[in-house]
Amino acid sequence: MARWLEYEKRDTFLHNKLHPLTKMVVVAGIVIISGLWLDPRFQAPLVLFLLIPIYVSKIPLYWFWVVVLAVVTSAYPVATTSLGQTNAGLYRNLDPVWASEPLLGGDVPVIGTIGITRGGLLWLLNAELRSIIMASYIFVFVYTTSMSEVTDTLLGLGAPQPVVFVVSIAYKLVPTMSRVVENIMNAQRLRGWSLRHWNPVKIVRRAAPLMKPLMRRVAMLVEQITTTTQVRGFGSGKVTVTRKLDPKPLDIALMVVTAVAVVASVVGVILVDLGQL
Amino acid sequence: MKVVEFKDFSLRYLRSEERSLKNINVSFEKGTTVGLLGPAGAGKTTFLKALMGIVPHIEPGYIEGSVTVNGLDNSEHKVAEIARRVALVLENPDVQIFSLTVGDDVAFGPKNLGMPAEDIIRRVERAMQETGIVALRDRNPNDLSGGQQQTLAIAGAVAMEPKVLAMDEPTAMLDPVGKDEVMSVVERITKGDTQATTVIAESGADLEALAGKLDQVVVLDKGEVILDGPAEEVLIDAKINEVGIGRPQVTELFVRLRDAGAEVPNIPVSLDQAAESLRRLLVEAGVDQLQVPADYGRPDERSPGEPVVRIRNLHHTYRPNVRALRGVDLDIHQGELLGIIGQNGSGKTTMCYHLVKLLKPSNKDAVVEVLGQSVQKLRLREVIGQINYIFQNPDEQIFADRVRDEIGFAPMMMEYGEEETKQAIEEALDIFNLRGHGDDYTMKLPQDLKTYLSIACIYPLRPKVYIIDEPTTGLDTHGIEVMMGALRVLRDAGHTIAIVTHDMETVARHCDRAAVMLDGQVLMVGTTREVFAQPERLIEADIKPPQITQLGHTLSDTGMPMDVLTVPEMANILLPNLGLGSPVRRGE
Repeated sequence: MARWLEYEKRDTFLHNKLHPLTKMVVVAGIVIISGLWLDPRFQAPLVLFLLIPIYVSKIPLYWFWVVVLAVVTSAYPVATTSLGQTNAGLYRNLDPVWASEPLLGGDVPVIGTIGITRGGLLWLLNAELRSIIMASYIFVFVYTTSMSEVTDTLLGLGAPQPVVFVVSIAYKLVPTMSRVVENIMNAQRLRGWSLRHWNPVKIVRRAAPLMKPLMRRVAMLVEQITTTTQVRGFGSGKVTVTRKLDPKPLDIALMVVTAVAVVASVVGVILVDLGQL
Repeated sequence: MKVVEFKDFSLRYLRSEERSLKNINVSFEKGTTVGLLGPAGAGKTTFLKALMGIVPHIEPGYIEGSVTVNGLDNSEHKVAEIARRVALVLENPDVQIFSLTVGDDVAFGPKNLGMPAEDIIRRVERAMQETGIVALRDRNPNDLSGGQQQTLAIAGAVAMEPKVLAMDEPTAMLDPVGKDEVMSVVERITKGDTQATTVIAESGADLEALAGKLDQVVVLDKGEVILDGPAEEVLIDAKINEVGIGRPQVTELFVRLRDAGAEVPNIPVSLDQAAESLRRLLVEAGVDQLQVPADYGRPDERSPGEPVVRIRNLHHTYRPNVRALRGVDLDIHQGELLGIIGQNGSGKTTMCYHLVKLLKPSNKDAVVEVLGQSVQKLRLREVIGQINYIFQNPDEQIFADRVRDEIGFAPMMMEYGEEETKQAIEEALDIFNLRGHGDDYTMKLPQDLKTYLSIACIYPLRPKVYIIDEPTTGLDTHGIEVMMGALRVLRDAGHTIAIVTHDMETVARHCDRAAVMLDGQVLMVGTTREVFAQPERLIEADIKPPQITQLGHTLSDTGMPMDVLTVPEMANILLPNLGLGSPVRRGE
């Protein structure tokens, strides 16, 4: 069974039919496009489209609990930067008055007008949707693409070996760490430990039984994996790439469509404020 | 021809005041298998790191003398260059496998060396053939057994076509069959076309798996070579026992027979040699059928108390469809020490997780009860006071600065009273051999003390039942004795102990009963003697009984009982038959 952020060999279209390079290009394209847009109405199709790779890849749905948690916990800090925005001059496509009118709040001495605005709410919604989109597409990529496919593709593209080395170590380390975290948490829970407490200071102090062994294990694992890769010659010089890139027509078509979409988005943003609030 | 030579070699790590290796002078010949033995902390891993050039090139240190491999001085070459001559296999296969398929992973090393594609293909084919994993070529390494994964790691090393294959406790994490698989591979590599010199570091627990394969044995203690010579000479030297490594059981038996006056020209180090020598001894003594004394077994075999743990029809399925448990039925009795044994992946750990509520059964009619209460209906804080589980790796548990604070963590979390906590800490220090270490820094403890500490940490919760995962892994023979002594103290005080282990000798010597798991079910359960006396059923579960019990099975045609568990028991049977009296050391 695959751990969180661990590749799993399965017989799906995304696992076996798409070239790793295509997956890299599509995910990178979607991340770029999503990053360009500030209007949640533009992000919405990307979220809906996301359901397709999630369904096709058969990725375990529990992976997305982290996304839910991140969206919930990041809502407050994101909101603090967006909800109070009453500057009408920021809006390019929305009616500035409609977007910047405070629904709640009012004039504050020295600071000026602050309050929850429609534009701020849309900005907040956009930021959260963007987080969901970026994390989810990366999850699908990791679940459907093995480390050797990623490293071979990067090497085939001429990426420097140190970069490939870091990627491969990260790919190996993340699921291993997820296993270690689970073990540590279970071991400490069986000693009566719990991270749950109403007092944030106590939560931080209670993290020590988790964080200290984790840091130590991370250091040990990094050292072990670094050693084992080096003793198998990694870093000795030029690497032989045995797998040619060789994408199929479908892969090329998808990459071209993605590239066109990215270029169109960039041009659209520059020329006509496409996807902006 | 000398392939490896350590000449006046000493090493001190950068931030250490003591030398980890002192004045090492050893050499290894081409195509030999060398056992590098030593208790925990003797310097075996550092020796292998020096052989691989990891020290001083990656881990800095001060060195004197030289290490040469194939005539080239390690200090003058980088690790990546040395990797063309020396390959290293570690204990844990998980950190050595990098690829999606077995074939890809074997090719990982040659690709990194930038070899032409045709050469890589040739090396991969040869390595897979020599290690016997051709049929696994397209398998995902994650789906392989522990033994197969370690064999894959070895194949990856062999594909580098090294002159020297260094292995650091390569069988420590494997079940008995996995150990045999790995050792067969080592033999093929050394004696086959590769003719590599294999250096295997071992602290003693798995010595029996490799003793028969060793040409040369080097014994390290406190960074110094204390013995060096042919296996048959070194393994019978008294120092082997003195430093806490211990001998193979069959070797120990023959040393005892020799000391009692038997004429034994060559002390055997492997099972086959021992069976042959023993048959010869019996023929020479005119013994056709052994007269077996009624009291050859250990005197303190206990009758089981009432069940304190009751498991019925327990199923567990991991997503997407991995059936880890398929209807487990098991009782664990009050005041017993139970050994839970089985191959890697047989469901031992999954079963134990249910006992402490870390997993939920997949079926609604499963029964998991501790002291008559359903575990699922209790809160976790209630469960851990009744039954607790100790994980294998103490480094994934220990976090406090001082030993005393670590032991006091659980009672602090449970908000126990100060006096109660203090008393529990002091008791734990005594039981687990930690007296005098209460104020030591936990991170500076040697591995054996860390292992004792991981169990001592649970003691203040006063659970009635302890489930302990691999309590003897990483311990030398002395450490195992201390650990099992502590567990016997707990058992004798009325606690119930279950250990999950691959160490059959420990089960035979210390456990009252054994439960054998296979494919998510309990294949058989009974007294240790009953279980190990059924070789056919054990083979079904890919379990091998202790070496001395196997010797008994081999000699069953001479009247040797099938249920001999320890060396003293077999000596008790043989000595009177050989006319050498009966120096019985009961209860040993």
